[in-house]
Amino acid sequence: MDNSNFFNRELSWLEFNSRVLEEALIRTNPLLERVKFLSITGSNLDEFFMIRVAGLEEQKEAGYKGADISGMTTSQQLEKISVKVHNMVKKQYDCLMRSLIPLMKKEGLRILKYTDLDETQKEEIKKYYETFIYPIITPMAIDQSRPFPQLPNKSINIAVFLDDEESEKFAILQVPSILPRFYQIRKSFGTHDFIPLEEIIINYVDTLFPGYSVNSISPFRITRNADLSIDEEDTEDLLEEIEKSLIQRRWGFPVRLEIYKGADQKIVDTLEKMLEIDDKDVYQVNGPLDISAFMFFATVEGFYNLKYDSFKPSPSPEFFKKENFFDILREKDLLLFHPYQSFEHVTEFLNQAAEDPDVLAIKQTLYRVSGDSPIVRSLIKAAENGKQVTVLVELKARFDEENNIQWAKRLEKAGCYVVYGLVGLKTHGKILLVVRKEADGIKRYVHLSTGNYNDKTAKLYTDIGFFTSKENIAWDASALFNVLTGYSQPPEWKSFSVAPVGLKENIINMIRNEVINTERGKKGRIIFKANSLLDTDIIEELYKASVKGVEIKLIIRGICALIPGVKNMSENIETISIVGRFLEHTRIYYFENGGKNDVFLSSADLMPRNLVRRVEIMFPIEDSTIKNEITDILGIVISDTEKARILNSDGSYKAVDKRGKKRVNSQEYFIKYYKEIFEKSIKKDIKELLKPVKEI
Amino acid sequence: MISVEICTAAVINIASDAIYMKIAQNDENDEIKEIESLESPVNIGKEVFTDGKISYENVENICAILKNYRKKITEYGIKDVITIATTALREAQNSRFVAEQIKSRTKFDIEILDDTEEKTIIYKEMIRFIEKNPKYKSSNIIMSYIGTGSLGIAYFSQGNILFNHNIKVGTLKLAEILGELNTTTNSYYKIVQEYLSSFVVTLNNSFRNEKIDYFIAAGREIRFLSKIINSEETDISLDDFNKFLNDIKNKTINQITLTHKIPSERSEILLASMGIYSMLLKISGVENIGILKTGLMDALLFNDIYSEKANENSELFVENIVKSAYILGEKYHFDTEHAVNTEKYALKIFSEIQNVHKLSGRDRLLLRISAILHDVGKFINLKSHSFHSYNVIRASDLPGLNIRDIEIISNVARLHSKSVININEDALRLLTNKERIKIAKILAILRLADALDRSHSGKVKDIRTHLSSGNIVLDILSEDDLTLEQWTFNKKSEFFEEVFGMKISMKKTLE
Repeated sequence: MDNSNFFNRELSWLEFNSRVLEEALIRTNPLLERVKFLSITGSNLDEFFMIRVAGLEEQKEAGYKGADISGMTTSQQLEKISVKVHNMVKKQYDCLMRSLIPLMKKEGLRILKYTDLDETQKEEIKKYYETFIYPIITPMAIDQSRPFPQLPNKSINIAVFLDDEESEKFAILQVPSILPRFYQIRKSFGTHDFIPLEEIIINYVDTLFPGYSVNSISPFRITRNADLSIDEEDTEDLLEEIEKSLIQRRWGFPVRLEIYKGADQKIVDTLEKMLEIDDKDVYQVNGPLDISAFMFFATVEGFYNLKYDSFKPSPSPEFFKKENFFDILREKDLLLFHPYQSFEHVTEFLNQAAEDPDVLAIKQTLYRVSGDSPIVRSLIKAAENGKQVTVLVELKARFDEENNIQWAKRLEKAGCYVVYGLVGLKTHGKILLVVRKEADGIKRYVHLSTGNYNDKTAKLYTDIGFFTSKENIAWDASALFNVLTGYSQPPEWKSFSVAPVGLKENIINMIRNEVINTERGKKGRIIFKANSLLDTDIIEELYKASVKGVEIKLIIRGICALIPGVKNMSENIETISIVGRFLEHTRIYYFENGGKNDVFLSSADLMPRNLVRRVEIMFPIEDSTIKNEITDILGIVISDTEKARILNSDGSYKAVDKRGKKRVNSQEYFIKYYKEIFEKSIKKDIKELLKPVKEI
Repeated sequence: MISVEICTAAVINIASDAIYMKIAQNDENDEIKEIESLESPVNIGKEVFTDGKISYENVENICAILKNYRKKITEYGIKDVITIATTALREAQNSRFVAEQIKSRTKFDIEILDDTEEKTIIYKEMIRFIEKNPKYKSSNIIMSYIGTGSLGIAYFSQGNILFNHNIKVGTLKLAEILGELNTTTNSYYKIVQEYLSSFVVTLNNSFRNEKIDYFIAAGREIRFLSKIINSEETDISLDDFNKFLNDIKNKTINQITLTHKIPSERSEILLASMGIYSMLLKISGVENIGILKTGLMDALLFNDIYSEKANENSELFVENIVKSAYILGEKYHFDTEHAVNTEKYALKIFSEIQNVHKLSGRDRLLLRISAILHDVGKFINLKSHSFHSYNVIRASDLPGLNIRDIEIISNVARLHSKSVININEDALRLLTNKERIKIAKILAILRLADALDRSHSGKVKDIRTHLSSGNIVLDILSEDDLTLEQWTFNKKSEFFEEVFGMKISMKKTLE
């Protein structure tokens, strides 16, 4: 491993989760936001086990002997993961039990034990247990004739050792997942006292096993290999190796056991044996199971003083209260920086297109749309208004959720031409094309984005959307849809770079171009902002560029396999990660190009899967104002002193040394900045309204 | 903005390797602005060149693609679509059936362009290009158009196309002939050159008296080459060309494909086309290759969108065809004066009796060319000269005339001096009834015109007509003795009477 030039993917991801966890520990963050960060680390870890750890386990089982890019074998990775996650879980629970729960208590958000309750409260609990819990709970005894039940993934269960006169028996109780995990006591009183569901069941366990005495009891939670409903994309790289060895995949095997620290060792041993789980995959915790469940408290109604100041995306000055976006976009390109600027402009644009009598056709890619999406509604309306509507729907996995298929069917019913993408390639590029017949001929309007057409996530993820009516982009946009609908071969793109053919090559060529410029005595500079950097070809090119003196700044939110700051390899590379209130999601690729300052936006991360197994778009920003805006955005992000963490050459991350620096929280800065430019623009409008009066 | 009527048009080309569609509209510079360009591979070429016909599966494939294209066309609300087919469909034995099947399934009416029609479109586009570029306007230019099935080499002077050679070596055919050698030799290019050297002598003879100013290449191959060599500038310099040629000529197809990231089917063709260009560069002795950026589909789009302008260009092009007919005649040392006179008289008679013959403008052109070239075979031998004329005309690549046109003209020439004419004769069995009638009508007029210059001395100053008791009388204005002409006329006019059912006679008049 020491000889490798890359960080391990899993460990890098765990570092990312640690940074999220750090946010839960920061005292200056509002309390319930801290709870939210903590719960996110929990759900992140769940997914990590279901997908990544499970994938590695499968790989190990298949007898795969190879090493990953960092030179580690599968077993080595699994061991390191286990060590790291055990530390992380300890930190999670320390944070929860020592800081957050006590602080919540102070604020009147209490998690109680049964023993904390007074008599009337106990009475209420008893009633709740008898009417709601007892009828749906089924104890399952386990012995030779009754094998261990297939407990659902991520379910909480209770293990019990019982005694009758003759022998000891083992039984399992499933904590019903249809009931709220936390029961609110005396809700009508306006207090916020809660008791965990399993706590209630444990207290009444005697009623379930009449004639037996309970020797020991403990709740536990199991995590399994992802079932079919979960997206496979995150395991693609692992499966690839497995497929080579032709081992059949085993779905649903347990990969993690979480159990109370104080649990009887006999229960732990029994479960380990029955679940066929290693010691290293057992996590004993000193608090309530399932950290992700605490999202419940983070999103509890009220308690506004414990949350971030309410935030509303600002309107874009150009689009604000305009009735015809086409008039604006015919003249110039426009940029929207979400969530600081409103995503509603995008839905409004689509809405106008659906109603506009001159619009001939609308084409769009949809990947993970929100349930009742205004986008889908507009597309349906457009089809009903007789427009040619083409929608490229990328379903999440082979068997997608019912609701995704439903709205795809609704689109079809309305007369949209719905296509499900290219075989073997996921369409990840985000693009919207509106074809309009105008006085001077066919005019096309294009919206391209780094993020999905999802009005819900557009409030939480940072993404850049770009509107243009420029010919070269429009030509490429039409051609791309022709490719996606199977009407045509990929053409020679005028402006786009499109994965899987050419995007990676173009990035590599532009990196090389910086090297050439440096060798000619010009300044070479590269700034990448992405969610992950894992592609070794690109990383190696960056190393080469670094050696030649190209200045490289990377803003990689999550996984980063590149090792920065290593002498004779990457000493000119600086890598930071931003974890803040919003999920960093923009993908910006900047190349100095001898002072031309080329800026590209993309839907693609720098991962092999993005570059070879997806249809991704990278497009240039040509408009100089917008180009400047994006380089300014990069500048602000790079100067972040609060939420930025610097990647060390050992794979760990450190806070920014603030000495002598202006304090910058880039996300807060952008909130303020975009609010101000909007407010200024309204004031200017008012002045202009007054002007004619003066002239008279 | 001045409101100009916006016209959006689509052209579909069913080619050998793929089906293409382009959608375009007019722009502010009176050029076409391409909106979309689609390409869907169907390899009908290979099939046709090996089996001679298009399989049922590929008809299915073609229909599926065309149905997709139909969706695009409706999207833009385009009504008229030009659908053409080139080499592969042209050469398929079952092309008519295929076209019919496609029509009934997709409602696309396919026009199968013959080789000369394809070239005519390109040559017209070339003339337009030359007109637009001041430096080309009054120069001598060699132009090449490499199609998949044949190579066209044309000579332009002062914006006119003077002659044209068609060589039956298209890139695809060349690559195919030499394809098997590819695996065994690195000197593929040398073989290409040797193969082509046999044409060099002929071509050199054609250009011997002319100083060539420019060499301009048209077609997909040169556009592709320029993309690789110098990212699509207006010219490729001889240096750049040779540098690239030296770079690739000792490589195998595989090596070219790998080092230059060119699809392998393109690399195969690349060497063949470079061999052709290299030969033409040598012949023309110029320092660079000019590039006609527009192709067949662009030209068709232009003609559709700017139909008025295209018509004007077509009329100009007719003069061009006439000119090249004279050049052909000169090559065979014909009697220029007789050609001029016969043409003049024939056109005069044609216009005087328009109501009688009811022939079209295009037929008028055919009459003209027949009149110019009817005696061209005398160069070979006076005996059976009309049969030689027939062969010379058929063997010549008159630009702007298609195969059917040539069929008519050559047969008119063959029959012009026969005493007994039977339009149902065996030799004409491959022509349609309509074409045979056309031949007869043109022939009837030509024979009169020829008779009026029997002595090859241009005695006739003018011709007028009047009707006399249902018969046509030609009033021949002349100051010379017309006895010989009169005698011949009487003999030759029988056929006219047979064709039109009217008696025709001539009468000398002095004013």
